[in-house]
Amino acid sequence: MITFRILKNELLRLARDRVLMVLSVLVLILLTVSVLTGHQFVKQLSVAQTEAEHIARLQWEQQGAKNPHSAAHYGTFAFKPVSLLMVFEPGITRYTGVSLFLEGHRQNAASFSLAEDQEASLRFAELKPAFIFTYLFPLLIIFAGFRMISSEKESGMYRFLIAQGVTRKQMLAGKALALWLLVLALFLPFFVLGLLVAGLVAAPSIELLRYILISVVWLVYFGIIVNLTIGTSALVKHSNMAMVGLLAFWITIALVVPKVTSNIAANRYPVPSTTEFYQAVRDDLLEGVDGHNPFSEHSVAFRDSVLAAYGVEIVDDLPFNFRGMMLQEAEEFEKRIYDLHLSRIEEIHARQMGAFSVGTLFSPALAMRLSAMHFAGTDRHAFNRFTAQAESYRIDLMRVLNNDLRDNAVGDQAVGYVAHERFFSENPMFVYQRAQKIQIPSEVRRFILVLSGWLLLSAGYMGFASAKEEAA
Amino acid sequence: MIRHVFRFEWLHLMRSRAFQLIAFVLPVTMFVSLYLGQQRVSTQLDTITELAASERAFYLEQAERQRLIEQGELEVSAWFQDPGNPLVLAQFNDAGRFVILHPRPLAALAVGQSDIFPYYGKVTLTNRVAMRDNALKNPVTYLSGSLDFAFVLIWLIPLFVIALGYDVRSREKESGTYVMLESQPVSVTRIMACKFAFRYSLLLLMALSSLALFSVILQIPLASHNGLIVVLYITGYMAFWFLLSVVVTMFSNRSAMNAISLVGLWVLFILIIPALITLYAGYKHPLPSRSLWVTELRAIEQEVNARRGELFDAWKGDHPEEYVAGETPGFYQTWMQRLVSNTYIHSQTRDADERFQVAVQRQHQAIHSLRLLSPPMILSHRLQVLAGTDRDRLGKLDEKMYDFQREWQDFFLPRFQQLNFFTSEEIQFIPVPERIR
Repeated sequence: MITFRILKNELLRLARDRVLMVLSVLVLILLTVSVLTGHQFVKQLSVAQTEAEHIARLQWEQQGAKNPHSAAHYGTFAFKPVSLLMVFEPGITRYTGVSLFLEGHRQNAASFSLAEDQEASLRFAELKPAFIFTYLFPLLIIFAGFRMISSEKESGMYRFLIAQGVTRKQMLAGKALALWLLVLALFLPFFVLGLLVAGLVAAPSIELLRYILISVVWLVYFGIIVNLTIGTSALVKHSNMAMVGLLAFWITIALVVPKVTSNIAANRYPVPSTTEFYQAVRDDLLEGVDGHNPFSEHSVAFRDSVLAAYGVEIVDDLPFNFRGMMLQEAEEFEKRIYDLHLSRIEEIHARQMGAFSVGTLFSPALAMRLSAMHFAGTDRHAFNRFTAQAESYRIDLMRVLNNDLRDNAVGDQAVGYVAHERFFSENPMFVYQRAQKIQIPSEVRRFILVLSGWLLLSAGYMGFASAKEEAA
Repeated sequence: MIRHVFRFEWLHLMRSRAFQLIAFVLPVTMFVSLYLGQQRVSTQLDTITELAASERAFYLEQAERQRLIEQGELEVSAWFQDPGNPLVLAQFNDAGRFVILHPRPLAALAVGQSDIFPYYGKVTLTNRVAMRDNALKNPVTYLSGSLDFAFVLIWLIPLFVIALGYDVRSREKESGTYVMLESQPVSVTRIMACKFAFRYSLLLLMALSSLALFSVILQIPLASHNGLIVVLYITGYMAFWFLLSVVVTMFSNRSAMNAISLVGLWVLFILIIPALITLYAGYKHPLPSRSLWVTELRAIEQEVNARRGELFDAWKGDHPEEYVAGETPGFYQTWMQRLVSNTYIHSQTRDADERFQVAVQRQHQAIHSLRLLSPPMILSHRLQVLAGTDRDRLGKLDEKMYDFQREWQDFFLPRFQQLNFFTSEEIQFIPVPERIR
């Protein structure tokens, strides 16, 4: 009952704080604008990607009659799918390429990231809910709560309340609840708006679940800030100290630690340059069948093994086109080499993420963003899922092309064989399969665990602050 | 009087925890940022040296092989192994030249867009491939950006200024000493001005001396015209934030309110205004889709290739003197046709690229004109320009590669068209791109 009264009183005080109300309305306006414009942007992006997919497929189908291996060099494109939840948490999507060129013999990296075309100032800030929640919301919470208890001490009201029989715990609980209600009063309208604008009600239920999970992650982050704000306000003697301490904390967790972590991760576990990478791949490729050089040592050995298996002397006596078979053999070998080198890069990335895990121990903001972007489908796992599916499609397509050459370029068709245009229309099509359930890789589990740890720790800190007060 | 105020301020700050923290954090973050910047530049320089060495080795090897052929000591079995063949020297395997944007002397100061844009690319007769060293990077490392000197100056130093300036006047009020100051024969305004001037000078001195010391240690050439400009930027930018502190503290007697207002202004100038400007520009001038652009280029390629024979015949009719009629080696026809269709593809894709860039520029222009609303945005851009890591400069790589490709084609194509092979002597005099600083 006493807690409720304190809560009521505190809410009245918050409602009478004009500056706070203006700031709250501003934050709500920014959130609304960010959701509306973000949704429009994602819609345009999605339409463009779908259109590009359609055109690329038509171009593939209408490339005209040609040798299937010429078609393999001609190649096609896979376009990065757009996640609906990018409206809320764009994650790394700005920095990953939008189109992936799929061709014979090599695995390309996705090219043309949004960041390349956007102006440099976007690196200051991008008005998205994720940005507002990471940077501005904590400031608002700090602003609303830094003097909730310290000002009671400064005005002498604190002693008066204690003398009236109010316990410190009740006081802290009432104030913390008031701060929570302020957070929810701002967050819930946003939540409903996001639900409606992004069409999540009608979207597949997994999207809604993802949205709820992102929201939970955000709320946990706000909870940490609320706990730390109230705890600090109870511990200090002057409001000034609470404010300076909390601001320094905010700067550290939101700005400094993420940047320092990035630099440490990238410097401690450096990735090779593109030139070095391709040189290493090229060196390894010399150790296997070269589809374009029938005279290489490995190509000759492969040819001899095939001739021996079929008991013939020359390739012309084989019941199929040997070149088609050799190209497929080379393709599979090249894939193994690329997979090997790319897996080494992935290992480096995973180690870098290990450094990020350490960073999250010093920054709940970092833990929050890395967790939220996973649920939004805008993290590196979502991107890797796309590239892995595109690669799997590429190798399937190459197999179809090489098999066609192997099976049909025989007899009088052997020289100058061209596949009919219809053949390319019948080739498999790339369709990105979205994840049907939410998987949480161990890397992300660590971020979530650390974030939960921060929540517990901050609650402990608030408890400690009230106990210390009690003892005093 | 000034001496007294300065002395008192000095004693006061020496005992202040906040100042002690700033005196530690400022030099440390500055050193780390400059060190990381210098490392980044030296990695680039190492790569450039390696590229030059590999290029030199390739052409020396070709010249040597050609010399052995001329002396009858070497024979090649296939045309694509003949080092005198212009295609072998201009198109295949390791042939071609690297066009490089060399880092500017102050590149260590700002990462700018250099982590996204390539700084070198390879040019051959038909290809211009910008080498994207970022293609293999973990995209998560981009998310929070780099800890560079520009970040320390633009983001952190204002916070240090705020920490030193927010309570200059209000603290006197809160502790009750303001009335005592008013009873002094000197005006309070003068005392406050002296206090601000002292704090500003001290912080400026700390920043500049740290920068000077670390630039000497890390061999960053700051003793130059551009170095002086950096010093002016620091001086001006810190003055801007100190003046803001003065204005805010004039209106409020509560330290906590001042701090909140100043941090609010910091958030406004550094986060909210840039976010609103980019939001507006993106909304008003949306970027065209890169994916659709990619398919547009593909359509051009497809169309030209479909008309390859026809275009080649037309070209032969127009350039009879640039084509060897009669009996020629097998590769000649194929490659002549390919090179001719490539010229058509390039001229048309360049038009498409320019159209795309015009749309991109429209958005950027909108941001540039609104940038005046945020001093941090202006300074960030100016520092990137000084460091040579701004988008405009790095975006020039493609243009430079295009220019050099013209030169490369002008040099090699006539030789190939006339099947005029190179001697070992001539291989040493093939074009080199101008050095771009």
